[in-house]
Amino acid sequence: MTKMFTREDLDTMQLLRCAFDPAGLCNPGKIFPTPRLCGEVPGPRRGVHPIVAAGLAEQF
Amino acid sequence: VGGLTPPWVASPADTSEASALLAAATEHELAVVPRGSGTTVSWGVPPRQLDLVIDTLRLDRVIEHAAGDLVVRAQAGVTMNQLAGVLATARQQLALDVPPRPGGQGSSPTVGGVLATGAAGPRRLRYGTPRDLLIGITVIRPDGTVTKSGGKVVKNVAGYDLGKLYTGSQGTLGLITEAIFRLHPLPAATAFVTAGYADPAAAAEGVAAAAGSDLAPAAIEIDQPSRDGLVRVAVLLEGDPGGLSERASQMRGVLGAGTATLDAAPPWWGAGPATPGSGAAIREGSTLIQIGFWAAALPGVLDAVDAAGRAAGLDPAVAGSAAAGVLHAAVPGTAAPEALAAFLAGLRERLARDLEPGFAGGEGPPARAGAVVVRAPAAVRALIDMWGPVPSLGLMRALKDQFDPGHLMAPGRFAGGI
Repeated sequence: MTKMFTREDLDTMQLLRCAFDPAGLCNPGKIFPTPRLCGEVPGPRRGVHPIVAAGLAEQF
Repeated sequence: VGGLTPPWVASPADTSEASALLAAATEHELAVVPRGSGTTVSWGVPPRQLDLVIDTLRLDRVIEHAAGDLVVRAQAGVTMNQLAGVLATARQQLALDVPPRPGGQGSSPTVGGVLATGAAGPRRLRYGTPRDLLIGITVIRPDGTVTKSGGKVVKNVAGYDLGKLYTGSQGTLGLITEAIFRLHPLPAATAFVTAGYADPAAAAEGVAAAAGSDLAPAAIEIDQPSRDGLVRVAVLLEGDPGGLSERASQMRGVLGAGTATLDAAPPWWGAGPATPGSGAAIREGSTLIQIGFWAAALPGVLDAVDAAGRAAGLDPAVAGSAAAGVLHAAVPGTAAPEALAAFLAGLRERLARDLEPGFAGGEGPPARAGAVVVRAPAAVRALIDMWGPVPSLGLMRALKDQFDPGHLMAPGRFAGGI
């Protein structure tokens, strides 16, 4: 997807999704590479995941 | 546009110029209406506000014609005639008929205009409408962002197919700058089989028989200039010259009495409704109503038009792609606006009551028929609701808010003030 479409193209598809499914509850992650919510900044996650920080999980 | 004169008109030469233009317009909060050849600019509701018209006619390049793949990529300002000329060199076509135009003359509509209106003609029965033939699109969002959807392969499946969203959006979501279409070969031969019926019910039977036959009609049109006149039906057959005459003679048998086979289209083919005496009723000043319906409901729709016309003291001309479930009714501009409003109200009531009991403005299952006013003079517009009941209007408003948060693209042109 990211090779075929630019970030702007994918953002535009998200606009459609936000109109139908503002909370991103319908099959999240199915079509788009990063499950993005409306207004969320795209890209890989940075920093320590909250559940790792809480000592509940280990990240490999 | 709809009686408004814009203070500015801009004519970008490429997508990046158009992008910069839209970004600047949004920065200055200018209301923008895109325009191609202007053949359908009188359709619909005039915009609430108009500061800038973007003329797409300089975006006039056919970028790529991949004849082997039956695909073409063209800019939005390419006219349909220009495109047909390019494609004909490879014996191919974009199988869309040019929509009826006021006065029946003037320049050919542009690719962008055909998409923005979603207009289609007789051959929609076989080939579909613009949304069915569009496989990729480039649209500039109101903030100037250039975005693409789809691609140039017929079987592309990646991402949302936003082309379907933009088709028929009347320029309210963004500026279409490029489109990619799937193509069809030009038919080796064509024949038209015509028939005349004294009464609409018989004509509807003829249409149903032709549509249900195994003779593969490419289009079935009906034309009723006046309620007392002959109802004309014509069927287009396309294909191999060898089998065509046999198919045509079988089709004459299907249609019944009073039939003929023609090499060329009858003069009224795809021209829209026309009343006798007034010439083309689809000229400026007339009111044009589009009725969409389940194809099987054709007899009921013809009855509803007739009954509503009688009740309002009007004799509307009716024509359209009967087997595809689209008819147009036209009333000349000389009719009283009050009578037209009564006709429209009566028509909508009958369509809702007689064809789909229980449907009322967004409740219940989808209607089996609906009437939308394509074009009307200002005096008529003031009295009527152009769109009628529109289900899922809330969703359309949410889409508009997402795509055009400033409501600057053709504001008010679409249903519900979108």
